[in-house]
Amino acid sequence: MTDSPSSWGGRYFSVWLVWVVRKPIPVLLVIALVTLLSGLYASKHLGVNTDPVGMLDESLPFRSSYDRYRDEFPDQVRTVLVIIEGSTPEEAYAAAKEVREGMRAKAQLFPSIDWPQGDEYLQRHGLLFRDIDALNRLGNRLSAAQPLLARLNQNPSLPGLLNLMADAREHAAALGADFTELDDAVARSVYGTLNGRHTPLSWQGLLGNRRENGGIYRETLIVRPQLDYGKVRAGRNALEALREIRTQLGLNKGPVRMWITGSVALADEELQSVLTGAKKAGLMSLMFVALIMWLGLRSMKKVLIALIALLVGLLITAGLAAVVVGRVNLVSVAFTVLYVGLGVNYAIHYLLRHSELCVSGMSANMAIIAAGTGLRSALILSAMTTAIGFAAFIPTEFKGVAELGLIAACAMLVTLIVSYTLLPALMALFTVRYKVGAERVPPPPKSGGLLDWPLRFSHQLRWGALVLGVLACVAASQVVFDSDPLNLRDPQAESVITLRRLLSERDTGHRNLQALVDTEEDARRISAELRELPSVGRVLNLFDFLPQEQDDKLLLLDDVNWLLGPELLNADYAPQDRSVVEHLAAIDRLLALLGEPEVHTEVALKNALELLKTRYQEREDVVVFNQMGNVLMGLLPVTMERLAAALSVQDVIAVESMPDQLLHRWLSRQGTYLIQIFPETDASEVAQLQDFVTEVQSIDPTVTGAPVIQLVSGEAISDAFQKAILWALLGISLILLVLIRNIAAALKILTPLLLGGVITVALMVFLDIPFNFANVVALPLLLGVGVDNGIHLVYRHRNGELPGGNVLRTATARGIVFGALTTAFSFGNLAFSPHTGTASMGIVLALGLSLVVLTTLVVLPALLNTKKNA
Amino acid sequence: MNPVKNHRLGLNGLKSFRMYCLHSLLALVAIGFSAMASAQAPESALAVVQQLEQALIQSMKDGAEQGLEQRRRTLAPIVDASLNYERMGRFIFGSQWLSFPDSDRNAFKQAFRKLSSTNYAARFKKYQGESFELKNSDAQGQRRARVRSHFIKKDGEAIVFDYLLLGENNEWKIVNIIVEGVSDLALKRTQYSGIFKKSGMSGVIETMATQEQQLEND
Repeated sequence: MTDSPSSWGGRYFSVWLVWVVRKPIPVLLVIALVTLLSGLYASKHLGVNTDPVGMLDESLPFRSSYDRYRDEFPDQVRTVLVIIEGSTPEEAYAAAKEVREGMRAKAQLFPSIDWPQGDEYLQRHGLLFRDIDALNRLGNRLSAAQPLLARLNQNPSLPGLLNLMADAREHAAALGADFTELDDAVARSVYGTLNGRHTPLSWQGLLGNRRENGGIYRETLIVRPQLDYGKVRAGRNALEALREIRTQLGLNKGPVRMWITGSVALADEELQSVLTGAKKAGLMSLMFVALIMWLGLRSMKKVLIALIALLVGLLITAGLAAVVVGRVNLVSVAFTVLYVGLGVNYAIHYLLRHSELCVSGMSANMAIIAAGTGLRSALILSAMTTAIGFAAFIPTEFKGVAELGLIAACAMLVTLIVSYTLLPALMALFTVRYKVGAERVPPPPKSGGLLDWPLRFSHQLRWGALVLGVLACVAASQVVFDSDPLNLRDPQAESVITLRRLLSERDTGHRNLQALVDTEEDARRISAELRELPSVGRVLNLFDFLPQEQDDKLLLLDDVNWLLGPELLNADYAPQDRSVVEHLAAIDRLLALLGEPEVHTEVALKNALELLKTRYQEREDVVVFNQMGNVLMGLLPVTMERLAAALSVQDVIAVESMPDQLLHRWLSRQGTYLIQIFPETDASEVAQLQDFVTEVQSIDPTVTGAPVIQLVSGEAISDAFQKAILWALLGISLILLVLIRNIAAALKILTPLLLGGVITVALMVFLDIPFNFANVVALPLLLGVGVDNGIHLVYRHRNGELPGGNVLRTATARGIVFGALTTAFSFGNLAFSPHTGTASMGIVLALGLSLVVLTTLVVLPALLNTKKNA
Repeated sequence: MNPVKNHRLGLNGLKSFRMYCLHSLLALVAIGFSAMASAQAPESALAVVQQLEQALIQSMKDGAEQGLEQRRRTLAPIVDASLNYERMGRFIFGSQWLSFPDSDRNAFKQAFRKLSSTNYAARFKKYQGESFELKNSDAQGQRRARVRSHFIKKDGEAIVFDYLLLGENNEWKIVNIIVEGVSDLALKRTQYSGIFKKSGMSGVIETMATQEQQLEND
């Protein structure tokens, strides 16, 4: 495997290695110092950037709109969504109020809390948003309920309620009133409670408008938390505080629940999952690599040497990254795992060649020098091609991957240097007592059998490869690119689950577009035009918060106040306990009046009341009744409080009198009007998203928002990916041609590479794995990594002395296999990451590398066999 | 005869007075005003209430000698001066009242006037020492006032009356009477708007005529 000593600066390498072998300790000290400094610097200065938009180039057109939106409406961009869900509107509302109080107590963590449903101004003015007919109907309902509420006010208790229902029945004819709603609500509530379910009576449902929500009522709080950019996980403090509030209020179990999602939570959980996955994969990789190396090298000492070289390389690279780039992104985090697989190959090749030379009789130290000198071209070439695989991303618009490319390319250079400083020094220091023959070198494999097939069937293999290649190309053309960042994330993360639920119920602005305009006329005009578009659902701007006919409505609501009287709304409706006698009397009275009912709500009511009586008789405890009183009347105070607030409105909603927090959600301090554009569909498919964006852009080309970001990123990365593959192929081909100086050989090296790549993509299509932001780096990387194997094989083949005439029987081939195994295994460990994107990267890389190595070992010898060789 | 129990969700909250016996005298005794929320109601508002209550007591006393029709005619002008029929009509029918033709509105107001005075005359027909006690009042600006009064029955039990008054050009009139918490106007709205939906204003007027007939026959 040795070239002529004069090429590749062979003389200089020999001289250097001689020196290192003679004086390993100074070399080790220098390396140790550099490593230490790098490690320290990295630990202090290396940050992680989780902003997906930040990964894209600043010159992309939509970024100026996005930046303006982020700067002028900061409370909407980096937010946490706190979702409260309960089976009655009152409970959800009350819980949301408590959560808000909890957040207000930690005001420095939560500078901005937006809760439209609970906003005092909007509550007071909320009824002005309904139309006049709805308000008249509300007036009717409240009038009908007024006597009932007055009676309840005098006797807020279960007997009070039941007696009232009895009284109403006695005058049913005169009143012409319909009791089905109340009967039904009471029956359900009583029955459900006695059967162990949580079914309080919702007065808001009885008094106000019913909302059919599948029984789940939701409150949404939009919180802009204080982010600590000094930390890797900027939102951590705020999120932990929220989780603490949730536990304190018991909203992590029980009938009312709280969920946390929103961009800050999504980013934080994503970072967590990526880091967890990388840590797990990194450790597992190290273990696997160590195991495989032990199997191949049969020496603990050598395994340790290789591992030390790996760690040193990693630390120095981290320091370099901190200096050159400063902040890495999520994809770069996976690189540390990739490095374990890549970096260790150099040590493996060096150590194996060293063994081979020792077995053939050379002294240990001479072997170090000879192996290093001899391997120089292969290793340098390897490093260069791998670096090219990474560097191919540098000239693209996807800044995040360009940075990764830069760091990774540097890392290969670092590895090379480490291989020629640390490795030989360690080997010199620790194999002093090396004895010839004492080292167990694995015997060469038996002749015949599998390893000779590529030689024996080379003709068939060549044709087979061609056919397979064509078929794979056809299959591979079906591959898709998934640009939805949500699909990259850990599907078990709370933020992801919650967001998906909100999306499926169309209850979130996550897929909205935002338009920014400068004048009121523009805002109104553009909103009107947007509403005409078929793919657009709702369009909201400031002026939707200024309802029509407000003066008329105010009069109407004023009338309702006169109707109800001042005492009613502000009274205390908290249910009081009563004696057993009173309860039984009231129940019996109502039962007597119900008689033998036929109407099904009355039947239900009768059954419920009888069940309640029976339950009391079983327990003989007044608590049974008093608890039921709470169930039936416990939510009334909350409802009355909200109603009182809403009915006390005295002024119209106007821009001048709107509170700042509400106003500045729609009109920035710089005078920009915001228009929120909701999609008609849930835009979960790219085609729907594309239609939505295209149509809206036809009216305003400067819109921004998640759909635009997603589509533009998708295009940018697809573009980057295609360019990167071309760059990688170009660079690799160039190097091969210049250095191997033989077009035929270069082509033979490239062929199995391309074949392996195409088969990988075809497999992705079969396994339904799309390309995404994370795994798109895989193919160019595979080209850069995979080509090393072909290079090593061809070099070895050229240098002759093939055991049994078969290059597959050489130590090089073994080195390729072990190297590939370690790399593939360490890549494959990423597949176990909870982060779906990282996992798909691991799968594609492991699969791809295995296939490339397979094709190299099977097809390349068959191709090489056409050359007459000694 | 528990006044609370007797107070049904009936047609007219004032039905409960049917039960009360009347005996002699007791004009209004002004008891101390305890300020509830804001300022006291203005004098003119209090005067309206007092005037009505005095007339009702008088009707009770006259009941011994005068018949329903006669007492009704005595009460009518005072009731007219006390109640704001226009507003009450609007409360009862909602914002659609403003779009009723004049004929409908006038017809309703006429019928309502007649029914009100008949109702009072029918209720307040026997005097056994009952009285009204003005308890407290509050006002919100120049437009709203609430006056609380206790009707003391012959056995000493008190019924709470809340009068809601609307002030227009410093003229105060009653727009709602809330008896033991139950809003008279709310009851009327529920009843009359139901009939209006089915049979229009003529149906409402007819119902009111029937009610009046019943009172006269009692």
